[in-house]
Amino acid sequence: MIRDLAYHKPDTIKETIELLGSCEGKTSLLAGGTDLVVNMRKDAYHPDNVIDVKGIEELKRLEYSEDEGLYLGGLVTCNQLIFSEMINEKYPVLVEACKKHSSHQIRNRATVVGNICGASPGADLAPALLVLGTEVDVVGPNGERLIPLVDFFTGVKRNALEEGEIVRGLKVASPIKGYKANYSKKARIKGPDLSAVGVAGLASREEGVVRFAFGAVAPTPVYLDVSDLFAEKDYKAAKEELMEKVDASISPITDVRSTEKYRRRIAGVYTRRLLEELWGEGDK
Amino acid sequence: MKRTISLTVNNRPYTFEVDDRKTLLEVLRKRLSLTGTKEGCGEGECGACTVIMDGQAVTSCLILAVEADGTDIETIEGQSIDEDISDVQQAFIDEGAVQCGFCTPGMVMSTEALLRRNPNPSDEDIRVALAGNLCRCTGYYTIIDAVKNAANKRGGKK
Repeated sequence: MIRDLAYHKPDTIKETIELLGSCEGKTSLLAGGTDLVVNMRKDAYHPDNVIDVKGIEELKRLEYSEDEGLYLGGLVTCNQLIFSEMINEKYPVLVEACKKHSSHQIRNRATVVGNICGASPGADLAPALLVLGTEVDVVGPNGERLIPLVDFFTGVKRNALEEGEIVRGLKVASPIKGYKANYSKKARIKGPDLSAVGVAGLASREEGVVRFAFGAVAPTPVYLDVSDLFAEKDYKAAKEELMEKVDASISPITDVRSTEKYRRRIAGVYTRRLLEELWGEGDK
Repeated sequence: MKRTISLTVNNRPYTFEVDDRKTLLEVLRKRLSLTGTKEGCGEGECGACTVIMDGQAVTSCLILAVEADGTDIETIEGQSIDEDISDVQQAFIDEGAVQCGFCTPGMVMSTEALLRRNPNPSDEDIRVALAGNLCRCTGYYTIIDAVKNAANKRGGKK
């Protein structure tokens, strides 16, 4: 049974920020509700106020331009990305990550921004957005600011938002010339499950870019830009150093989904496979 | 707190007062006596509570009833018209895709949503669409056959 709460449904971001400032007790924003309502039903979390942001038109933006890249509003769901021709064409790695996130019914409700704001170490969308280059568009009582996604995650289920701030959307950089990217996920079952390890890779031989990002292997998603390695060293040496760097950068734990040792191993295996798939063998 | 919401359920308009804390599932089952929609896990994992909301399959256990204000909801009861069951329901019977039946309303609603957006689903499409509906009896093969059967009857290619 969910405890007593006050439900609010503002029409604008301004109204939402005012509500965040005036509501007494614990206040939660509600978009898809696929995390929040589960926790409320389990009595693991009981907000005094719930602010439903689904009435805010501005948060429904899903736009792309060559110069600006992608703007992904706070209410865009995982399935919207999966079924968007534009996303399939420009950012297929986001489609891959969304497909590996939960079940069809949940993806109809779960928002990409919600996945990021939840700041779960294993958030499926985080690695893909990190390798693409993403900034978090934040609005609050003191104005607006852009936070690089890599700095947005501050701890397990903790993010860089300050009191009264909300995420309006995500700004994803324009696609890098000739890039390829993919997301590999290890879970206990083939069907919907939280990730035990999630690895996203992005590479462009044309631009000399190699990036990796990891989920569920540290308190926050881990991001590695190893472009310099591949520019300076031959392929074999760069690959070897990359593998060492991955191992040194992650700090997995043992839990119900996997052991520390297995997570470490799989993170390495997926990195190697993604490197071979996206960059290919041999020097530039 | 309580508030008044208006929504359409199985083409019938309703306006009533609900508690902010109630889920859509609780309102469908207890308020409207539409008990075909089941509660399994209560956390969006099993799909027994699947209904179609504004054309999309969703788990009604994770939606507050107040969030459903202004929406169009379809439940398993809306699949039958008078005494006739739907083609999807018939396909489930014909393929032996029903054993204990607890998951079936959710399975049927997920199938209905799938066939509307993709009349000719591949095996993989069916598996993806139904991955959020758990069944502990059938082993799933007959359910996949039932979806294909329904798709064929609706004119999708084999």
